[in-house]
Amino acid sequence: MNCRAWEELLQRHLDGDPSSGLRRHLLGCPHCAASHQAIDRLLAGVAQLSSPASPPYLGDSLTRTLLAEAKQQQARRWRRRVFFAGFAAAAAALLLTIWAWRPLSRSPGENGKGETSVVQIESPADPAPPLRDSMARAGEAVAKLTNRTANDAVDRSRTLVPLMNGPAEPLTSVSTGPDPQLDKPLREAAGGVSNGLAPVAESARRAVGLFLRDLPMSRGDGATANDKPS
Amino acid sequence: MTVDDASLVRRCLGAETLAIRQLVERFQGDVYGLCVRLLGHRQDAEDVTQEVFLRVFRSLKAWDASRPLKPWVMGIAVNRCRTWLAQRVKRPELVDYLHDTLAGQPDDDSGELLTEIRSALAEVRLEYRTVFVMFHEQGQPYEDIAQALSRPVGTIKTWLHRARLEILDKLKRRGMLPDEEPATKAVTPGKSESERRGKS
Repeated sequence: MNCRAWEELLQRHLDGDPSSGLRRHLLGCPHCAASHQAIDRLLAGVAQLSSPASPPYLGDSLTRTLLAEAKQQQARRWRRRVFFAGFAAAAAALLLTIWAWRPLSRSPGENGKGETSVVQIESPADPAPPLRDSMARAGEAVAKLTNRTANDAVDRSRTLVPLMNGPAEPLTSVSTGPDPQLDKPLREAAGGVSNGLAPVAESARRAVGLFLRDLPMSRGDGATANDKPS
Repeated sequence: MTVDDASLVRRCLGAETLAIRQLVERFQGDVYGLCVRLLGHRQDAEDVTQEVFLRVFRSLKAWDASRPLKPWVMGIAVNRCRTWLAQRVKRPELVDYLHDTLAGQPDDDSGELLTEIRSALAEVRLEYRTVFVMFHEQGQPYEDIAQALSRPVGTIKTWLHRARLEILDKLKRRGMLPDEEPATKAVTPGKSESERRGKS
């Protein structure tokens, strides 16, 4: 046996598995026999090797660290669950909202832009009123508005005057009451309001009349232009 | 053992205080001892031990229940030590504190030979040193060491043998062991004796 093979036996010997082949080799090889003595001394020293003792506080420290880590892991798991639950709830609410909105946004006509359309009361088959009638109505509305404004102004101006003994008389009829000093301001105020609003009403009447004159007449000619506001 | 390991892991994942304490008590000795031998510094060994257990706890879900728990834990310890040593190399200003080694502070064993063995062991290559410590100090079998280091059993045996020969050579150089050859000639593992004699 050469010394290379002896190393294999030595390995086994060091592993605690001596073989008879090793003993035979040692008997015939002085060099290896001398090495064997060194190896034995090494093994004796190695047998005394022991793991260094850990500090007494290390166990508790490690346990505390791991318990803290366990708590953190639990907290992270809880936060993850809450997040996903919230996300799922928000997604469900969003889907529900989209589903609820869809019928309301649908319209029978051509409303492709998604604009909400007012439900029409009149049937599409009803014809639009004639333009002449529409303008006549507009003129009457302006005249009525003007008169109403004037009357409101007169009514309000009465509050500026202390209560009179007698019944309040309409400002349109000027009365020579027992206190001409009070009547005069009222008369002037009423006159001022009427004078101020009269041009507005007159202008509106003229505008409507001109417009109606230019329109093609369906019946009569210019009858609506001469109508005076009630 | 596997059933017991699986039960322990399950309880640890359930954050049972007793289970966590058992996990620490079961492995802290071997993990700390390995870290001390590989890093050569007690404070570093404590820090790395903390890191090892944190990593173990965070990775418990990834543990393969069909394999024993100890090699898996020791594998994490070896990797953390390796990383720590690599980072230490990048911090040259901390080299001085490497003198605080256990070689000069035998607190658990006496004897000059033992001290010399430890000194020699500290100079051995990291992989060889790891296998030597796990086999001779911690009494772990080849199979567990192979699992921990993710190497074949044959490689582990080779590394162990080389570690022994290196330590033996260093002891001879220091005069701790009978020297059958002149000190200038190093013992080369793998070469036959006749080849070595032929070169002299």
